[in-house]
Order: sequence, then C-alpha cells, then structure tokens
Amino acid sequence: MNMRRIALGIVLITFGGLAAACMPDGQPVGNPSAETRVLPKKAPSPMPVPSARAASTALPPRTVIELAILHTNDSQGFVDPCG
Amino acid sequence: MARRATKIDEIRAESERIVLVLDSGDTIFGQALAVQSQGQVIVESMSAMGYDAMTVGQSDLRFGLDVLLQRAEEADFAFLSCNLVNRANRQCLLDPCIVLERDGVRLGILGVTEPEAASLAVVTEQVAVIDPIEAVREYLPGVRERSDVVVVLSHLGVDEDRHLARVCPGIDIIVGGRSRSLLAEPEIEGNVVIVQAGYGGEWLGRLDVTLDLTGHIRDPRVQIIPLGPEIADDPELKALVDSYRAKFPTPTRATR
Repeated sequence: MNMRRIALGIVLITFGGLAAACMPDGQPVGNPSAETRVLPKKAPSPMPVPSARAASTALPPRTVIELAILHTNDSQGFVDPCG
Repeated sequence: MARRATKIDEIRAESERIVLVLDSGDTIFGQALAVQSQGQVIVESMSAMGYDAMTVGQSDLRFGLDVLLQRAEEADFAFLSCNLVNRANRQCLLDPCIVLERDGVRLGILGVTEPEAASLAVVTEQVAVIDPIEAVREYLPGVRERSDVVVVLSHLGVDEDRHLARVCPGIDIIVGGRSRSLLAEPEIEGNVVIVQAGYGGEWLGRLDVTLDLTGHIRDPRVQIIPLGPEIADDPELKALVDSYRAKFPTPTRATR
C-alpha cells in the first residue's frame, strides 16, 4: 500500500514538473480571478504610480523630473502691467 | 494680461519640461475693471491662460466670501487655501490642496493664506484663518505621500516662507506672495526653493528645476520676465479684456 502511494506520488511530481516546464515565461500561474480577489479593497488611486516592472517594460525609466513653474503674485487686479 | 498670455503660450510651446502656471494671491481685486467685474475679468483671463492653481490673499476676500466662492466655482483652475476656514465649524472654505498628474508625474500643490486675511470687516464674521504652520503640518503629509513634487502656494511673505520651509519638512518649492519680493535668484532654505515675482502684473516668474530620483532639487534657475510693451498682446486675451471694458465703459478710480 505504502509502495503504491510512493509510486503514485513520483508519477504526479514528474508529470507536474513537465507541465510547468512547458509553460511560457511570464505566464501567470493560477486563476486570474483568484488573483483579483486577493487585491486590497482600497479604491484605486486616481494617480497610480507606475510599477517598476511596468516602467522597465513599457516606458523608458524616468531618471529625473524636469519642471518649469510660471508664477505671478500680488497682481492686484491689474489687467495691464502697472509699470 | 494679454502680454502674459503671449509669454505663457510661448514658454509652453518651446519647453520640453512639465509646465505649471500658478498664482500666489492678492489677485482678483484692485484695478478698476477687476473691481467693477468683481474679479470676473481676472478669473476668466487666468482660466484662458491655463492657470493650474492660485492661493487666496487678504485682498481676494474684499468682495466678500460669497463672491470669492462664486469666482472659485467659475474658474477652470483651483483656488486653494488650507487655513481659510468657516469661523463657525472650522472647515476649509476652499480646497486645501490638489494633486495634478502631468506626464506620469504627480504634482502636489497646497495653498496657504496670511492670518490677517480674516480681519477684513466684510468677512470677519464668516471667516477665520488658522495658524499657517499648523494647517500646513496637517495637510502636508497627505500631499507628500501622493506626490512626487510638493509646491506650496503661499501668501505669507518671504520671511514667513523661509520659516515655513524650516519647520515643515517635506516641501520642495514655495511660490510666494504678499511681500512683493522680486527674487532674481531663488532663495534656498534647506532643501526648499523659494521664489516670488514682484507685484502688479509687471513680471512673470519662471522657475526651472530638475528633481533627481531621490527627490532632491538640482540646479534651480529663476528668470524674472518683464512683461513690457515689446511683448505682443495675445489677441484672444486682449479681446476678452476688451469685452469687459465695453461692458464697464466708465471706469471708477482704482481701489487699492
């Protein structure tokens, strides 16, 4: 009986290994809907941060932020410059 | 205004940077046309120029709270103040802050008003201004968490801006007003860059910064751009202002 269980286990492990080896790289293992269920229930951020994986595959990585701020202050209702 | 619009469009067209257009308050009240239209000509012009946000200074409250809230409602940009509150329930009267996204970069902007703003007779029964430092400390962590860059729009004055930079870690840039300082070079306080661009609509300030991956600002550069007659009027903006001039043909004396 024990010998039969051991033999069955070896067959299943071997078959499982072969099946996994045939999967294409990057293919998710498991049911996608099950994966969705384990996501946190937090509402999605309106400004999601790109993941490192997405950045490395879809977009060139951002190394710096280049910003120009144009600004005014205390213009006191002047529609034309007062000078 | 029409020259400013030309310059803003020109910079937007030529720059490969993310461009923000901001105002630090004391903006909608003053000159005759602004007074006659209760700030409408200013707000409509700023919307047309693509402003992203402004904060509120004392003079912006001179038309009363209802008019201010009406102008904020009409604007295509955000009126921000984290410390201008309803005197009765201490709730913010305007959005305290916003987070904009441009090219995948999250830009947090927080507005702050000078404490004296609530002393105006026209609003004093409705409005209170809570301590700016206390209010910034309340809202800054939330904005910081959601932003790659944090800009404070301040109508506190440059000395208070330096103090704010020292005691409220997490700010990257302060765009200031009230002291009417024409800062030809950026003020640096710790890791914070402080800028301000004069008064009276005579200048457009420009701050170019690069933030590295650690969030540190490198190479801040300031330009103070005089809006002199050598700059052509933007025809659409000029037409907009002229339409207000036609609507209010007899200007009253400027009230300052």
